[in-house]
Amino acid sequence: MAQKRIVKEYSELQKKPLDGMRISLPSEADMHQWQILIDGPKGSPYEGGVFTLHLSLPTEYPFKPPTLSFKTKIYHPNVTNDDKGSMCLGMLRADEWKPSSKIEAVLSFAKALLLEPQPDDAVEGGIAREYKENKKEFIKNAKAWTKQYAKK
Amino acid sequence: MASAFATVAPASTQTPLETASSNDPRPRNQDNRNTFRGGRGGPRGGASRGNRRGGGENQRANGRPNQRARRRSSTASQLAAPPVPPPPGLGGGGSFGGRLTKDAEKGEGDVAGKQSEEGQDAGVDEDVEAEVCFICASPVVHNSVAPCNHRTCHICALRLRALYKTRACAHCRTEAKFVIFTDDAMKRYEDFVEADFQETDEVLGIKYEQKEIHSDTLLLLRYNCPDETCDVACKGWPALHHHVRTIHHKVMCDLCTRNKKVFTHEHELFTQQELRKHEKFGDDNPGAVDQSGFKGHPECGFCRQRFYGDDELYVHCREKHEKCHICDRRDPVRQQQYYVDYDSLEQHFRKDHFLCADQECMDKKFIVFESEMDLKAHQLEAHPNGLTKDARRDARRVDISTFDYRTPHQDHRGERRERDGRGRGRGRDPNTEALPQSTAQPMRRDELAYQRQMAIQNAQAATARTFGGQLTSTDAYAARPSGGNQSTVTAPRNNASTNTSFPAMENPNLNPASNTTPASLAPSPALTPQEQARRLQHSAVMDRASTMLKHDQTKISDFRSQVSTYRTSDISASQLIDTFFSLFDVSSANLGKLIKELADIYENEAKRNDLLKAWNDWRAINEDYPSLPGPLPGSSTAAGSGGHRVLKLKSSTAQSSRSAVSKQGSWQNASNSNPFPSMPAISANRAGAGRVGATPWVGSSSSSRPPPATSRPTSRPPAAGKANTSEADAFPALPASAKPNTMIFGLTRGTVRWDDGRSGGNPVNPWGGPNGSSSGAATPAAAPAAEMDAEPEFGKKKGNKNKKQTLYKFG
Repeated sequence: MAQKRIVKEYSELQKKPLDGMRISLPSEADMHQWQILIDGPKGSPYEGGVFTLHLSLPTEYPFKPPTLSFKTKIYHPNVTNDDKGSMCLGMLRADEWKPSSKIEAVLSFAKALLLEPQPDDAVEGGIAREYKENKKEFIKNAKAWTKQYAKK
Repeated sequence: MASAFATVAPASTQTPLETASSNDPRPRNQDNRNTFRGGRGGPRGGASRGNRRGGGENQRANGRPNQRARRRSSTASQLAAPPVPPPPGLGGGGSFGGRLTKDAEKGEGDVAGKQSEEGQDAGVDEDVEAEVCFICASPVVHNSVAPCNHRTCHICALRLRALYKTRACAHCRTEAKFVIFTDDAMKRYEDFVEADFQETDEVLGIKYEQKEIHSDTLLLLRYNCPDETCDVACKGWPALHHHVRTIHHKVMCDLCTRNKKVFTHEHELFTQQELRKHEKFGDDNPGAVDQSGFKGHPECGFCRQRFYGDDELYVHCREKHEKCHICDRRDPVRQQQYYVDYDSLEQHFRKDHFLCADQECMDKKFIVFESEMDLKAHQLEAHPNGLTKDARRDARRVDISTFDYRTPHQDHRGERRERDGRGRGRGRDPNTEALPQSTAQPMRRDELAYQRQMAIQNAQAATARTFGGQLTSTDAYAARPSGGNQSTVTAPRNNASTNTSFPAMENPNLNPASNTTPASLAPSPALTPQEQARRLQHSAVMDRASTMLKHDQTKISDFRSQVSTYRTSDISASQLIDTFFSLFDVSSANLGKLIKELADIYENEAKRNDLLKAWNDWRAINEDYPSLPGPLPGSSTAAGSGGHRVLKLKSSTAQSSRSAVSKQGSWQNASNSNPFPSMPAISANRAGAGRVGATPWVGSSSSSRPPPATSRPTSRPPAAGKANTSEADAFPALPASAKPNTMIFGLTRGTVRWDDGRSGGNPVNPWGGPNGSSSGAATPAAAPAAEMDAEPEFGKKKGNKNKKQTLYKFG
């Protein structure tokens, strides 16, 4: 069941790509693992960087939510600062996931999060605090990381 | 019509934008349709009308979408490789036009509608669009309408309700007590009246507008055989497992059948070998089109037990094993590390943290501190009189043991030490420092003095650090609760084997018994590789058994004699299993491993199957499987009449490209170019040259079998009455030679009566391959038990046999 839906969504996104995103399959045979390159959105401290994301679709998709992680290090309150780079998206939580949610919506949401972090929903408390209390410093750090890790 | 569809396809790309808005729970009329309904019109409209007319149309209505589904599945597999052609059937926009078409069509009447449908089907190929379920992207056979007027196909709705046990709408998560299964693609929920419903299922919360939909739905909920050409439905899991094993000579993954939320017929059938691969590596099959993304069932490194998924493994580890809360707090990012039990964790506490050595605290467990300062504070507060002399002595003794004893799971120590290595007394009770020097403290006096000084200096810093550490770690930890992956358990298994509660399977020096060559067997000088391998298996079984029996000689010989009584058919398989249970004091999972290995070495097909069957029956009775909420026993007689429909239904919900052909192809593929280096033996030996361990079927071909010791019952014993009728129906269709393998068994132990008289006509073993006669003389029927005792002593082997032999000699 998952296969059809995934193939469909993939081909939709290939046909009409999201702005500033390139989607590919690391292994052409495995539709369940997607690789996404996101350009840092204009106006965000991530501008100018390219971030690699990994989207993993479970066997039970769409009845179970996919998981999204950053392969490129990013200074962001909602992305864990470890080798997993897990991203906290409300809509991806098991109890909030809707089978009708599409990957496109997930990706759009992720991009929106780059533009506007949600410090109240953070996984990196330190960065969230900095974002709230000392935005200048946050922007400086985020830019530095972007330059260091997400160079084009 | 056709032009209407042409416009539908491109427009559908707008769908995603609307998806986001579909989160809105408000029932919307037009929007609703635009969002979820695909190219409305001809084909579906026609079909549903046909259906409503009932009778002869049903077949057609059911058949059509399935044909499409099949066609589509081939498209889907083509789609897998980019460049990607435009997807057929995106349920999406453009439906407004479609709706108009339908209205117009209404005017023309049903006949016209149907004609257009036929024209469509004849003229157009896979680009034809039937409406497609937004959720599963498969053509809609029947509609499900929720009170929020969101629609899915009936299969998705049923999946959510029956398998995921949720009544939430797939689109907006609104809970609905009832949904309506209908063929009317347009009618809104509130427009239905009670009189419209032919059937109501209170349990699932489904109201059926048509009897046919009801029966279609019930078909899906039966225990259908996953084989695509088989229309048998069983009465329950045990019967289905039995059916699959006897009729198709396959097995289903136990973990999947218990946990995977798919309809029964959507489970997969495996050979033993495939099952092993499935458990270990998943269905990952590079180059195949039937990728499922499944990566195998993770295993607990301590218990060697597999779990359905990371979540289940995580739960297991959390319940059965211990974690160090201090390490977790310090470094939440690091991989989850577990200790096999509290003793092991306590060792870690002593070694790397500051454990309160007070007996009372030791009994309470987990009285351990991150810093010396914290420990001192605790001691001042809780043990104001200072530690007793006894405790001090204990502390010293502990030191010695921890210094001398280093287990691999404490490898990270060094790293940790670096991090906060400020020279504090490592894992040492501060009180012991005051004691005179002992050998337990391999430090010179000046080092000690330095350490003490540093400890004092750091005391304040330590508390501050602790506090900060707590803050960050708890959030981050909560966000990653299921961080467990296959490597979750990093503690090595050696550790587990030192613990007596787990059988140490690799323990090499067990089983003195297996080294004694009994007089009963004169080892034949020229043994085939098959036999050598078989002997290895025998000794492996004995090894396992004696480990499980804790090397108790009387029990081991008891085990031996039981096994040989079974071989000589003096007792039945279920009796054997009964005695095993009294003999072994281990978990059923462990016993299962033993029994499976034991079964593998039975040359006699019937014996082997019997034993496995008896074991599975036992398990089926004693362990529970998830039950399907559907119709229960009794409906299995419907299999005959519903057979055709079942197959259609199966194919309609089947995963896109799992046709028999593609599956065959891809597995074939895998065996040719096996991507997993660790399993070279399997692919290399596919031909059957004596691969025994993993392939019972092949192993059995090593010799021409003497007559099986047990005859098969010529008639079904009355006790076997539980076996269902549809199975009985299926039997005549089998080739005569297969029948003897399907031993009759009672679902309840002890009720089967075995015919002691030989029923003559012993079957030709269907598995006895061309090389069957090669070693026939050397392997009498008595071989299994006799060889169990044999110590192999052969000279030259070849290939992987050689390796195995070496391994064995080690032991």
